[in-house]
This record gives sequence, C-alpha cells and structure tokens, in this order.
Amino acid sequence: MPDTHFVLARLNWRRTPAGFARLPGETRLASFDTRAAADAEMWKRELAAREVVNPFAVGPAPFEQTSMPAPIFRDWLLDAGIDPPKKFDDPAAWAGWWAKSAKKWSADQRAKVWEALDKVRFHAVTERPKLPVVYAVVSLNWQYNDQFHVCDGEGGEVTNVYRSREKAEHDCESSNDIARDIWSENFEDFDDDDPPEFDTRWRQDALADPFAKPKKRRLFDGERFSAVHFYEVIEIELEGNL
Amino acid sequence: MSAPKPAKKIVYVVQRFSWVPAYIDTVFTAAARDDKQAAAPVRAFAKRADAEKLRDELEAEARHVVPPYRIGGQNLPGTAKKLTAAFRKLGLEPPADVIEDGYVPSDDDRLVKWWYAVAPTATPEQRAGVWEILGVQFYEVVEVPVGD
Repeated sequence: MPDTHFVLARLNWRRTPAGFARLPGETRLASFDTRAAADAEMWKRELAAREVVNPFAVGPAPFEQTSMPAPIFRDWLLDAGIDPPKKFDDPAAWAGWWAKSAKKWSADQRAKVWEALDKVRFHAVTERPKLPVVYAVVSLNWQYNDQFHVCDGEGGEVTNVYRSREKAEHDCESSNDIARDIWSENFEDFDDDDPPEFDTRWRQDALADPFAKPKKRRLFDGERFSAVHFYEVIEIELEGNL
Repeated sequence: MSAPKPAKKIVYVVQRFSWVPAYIDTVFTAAARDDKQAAAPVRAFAKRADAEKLRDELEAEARHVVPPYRIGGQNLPGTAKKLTAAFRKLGLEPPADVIEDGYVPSDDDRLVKWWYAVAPTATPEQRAGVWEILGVQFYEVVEVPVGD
C-alpha cells in the first residue's frame, strides 16, 4: 500500500464586504489515492469559486494576481480578444474593469484570463505522506464586547493532545461541563436578571466555506452558556514517534 | 521509596495565529483574549526541530501570499528612525505617516494605499522584508502535554 496520498485543501480565503481576502493556512477537505481523483474534485470546487470571486479585488493588480510581467499579461489579454483596462498602470482600476467587463466575455475568454492568474487559486492538491493523527483539545476564544460574548476566528488555545479520540472527547466534555458550572456559579453570584449571552454566528462564519452562497444570517438569539461550547476537539497529523 | 513517575510526554504543535476582520474591509487583526492570540493547531511533532522547520516554511509561504497591508492593529516594533532606515535599506520609500504613529492602522487604509503604490515594482525579497519590519508572525510552535 502506498505510503502517500493526495490531499485536497481549501486555501484560507475569507469573504469580506469588499470581496475576498486570503490569509495564511488551509482547510483539509479530503484525501485521495490518486492525483487524478484529487484534481477532479479540486477543479470542480475551483471553478465554483471562480464564479463568485472578482480576482482583481483581492489586492493591487495585476501583481497580486499573476506572475506574468505586466506587458506580457497585456498581450495575453489582447490575444484572447480582451481589451485591458484603460488605466492599465493603476493597481486599483482592475477590480472595476473586471466587474464591468467579465460578464460580457465568453466562457473561454474568462477561462483564458483565469489561466494567467496563477496567484489567485482557491484550492490545492499536494502529495503527502500518510500520517497518524492525534486529537487536540482546544479552549475557544470567547470575548466580551460590552453586550454579549463572541467567539470569532478559528482555533483558541490547545490544552492537551491525545492519541485516542475517545479520551480527547472525554476531556473536552468534562472541560465544557466545568466551564458551564463556573458560568452558572458566577451568574448566581451577580444576582442578575440578564444571563450572559453568547453569539456563535461569528465562529460559524469563520469556519464556513467562503465561496458557498451565504446563508441568510439568522437573527441573534443569544445562546445561554448551558448550550455553548467552550472547548472542542481538532484532529491533526502527528509526525514522529511519541 | 516509590519509583519516580515517568516524565509526561509532550508534543510540539505548529499552530497558525487566528485573525478577525478589522474596521475596514481589507484588514484583519489578531483574535486575542487577555493579550493572548488565538491559534489553530496545524500539525504535531515528536521533535521540536521538525516543528520549527515546518513553522519556518509556513511563515515564508504566508509572507509570500498575503499582502503586507492585510494585518493591522499592532504596534510597530522599533523607533521611527529605525523603521524608516529599515524601509530605505530595503529600497522602499517608507510609509511615513504610519511610522510616525508607531501603529499599523486597522480602521483606515493608509498602509493599503502605501502598498498599492509600491507593489508594482516590489520584489519578493522586498515583500518579505516588509513583513519582517512590521513584526507580524503567522505561525508558532508550542509545547503541549500528551494526555494519557
């Protein structure tokens, strides 16, 4: 049996009001025994992402988008029957140009442009060794914003790592119970009619697929601490022998 | 005399710092609680040297793919004089107003505009150098105990 496999990952893009922004890292989506199978799934997802992203809105253009020197990229566009933006040398002009022009091009023309944009990729397939996994128990990053508690962003603080998922989940469940008991005691101590509320939507947004059609954000109806997760288990690979 | 307890095993976890949207659309700031930034575990290693090697590789990749204006809300490390000299040594005109504040803004786009102006001619080495000057770190290695 081969000791490597092909891992498909979604690169760490975030949806913002201005478009999309890339941050470091990736989210592992699936692993495959063959590169062909991994690439097929990758391209399906990549093409779907291209439908919703303005590639020139992710940074100064065209330098953040293509490795081609500007004159070469200009020729590339012209060869595809596409007129470059009039303000070719203005890095901020390209996003508007794409927004206005791309919808008028044929599918082949859009594909030709994307082909040149080697720096704007949303997924990646890499061949990696098959490694055992361990389970990290993570304390989530809840913060108070003067109105309610918010946990945004990924991760938190790793407290323990286990070789057994069962033991990790037991630790996680115990830690959640303790955290909820502490909240309960503190709430009683303050004799407050308004219990603390927790907004879980931000974390859900940070972990969601940024290219999927955004779901209508549900109205904030604060979770009570009895229903909130303060800890979670994250699976990660382990290199080396413990 | 009882036998000494075996030392608790530890692993070295490479983790990626977490960022949240700032006040302007193109900038993110640290997701922090009590001055400690949240981080997502990426991979665990039995040996620290192996963890640090991956950390360094991922850090270099991050600086290559993320434009330098993307992270804001942190103090700039060093005096205005040293920062200005560092940018000039890189061959870049410094973002003078940002340096004067000693702080990378998270609620305005001054650093964004500065990078848009220098990006057309900035080399990959200059880009990496800007990240170094800004003092932003994307990955770290932490020791974590292995539960029984």
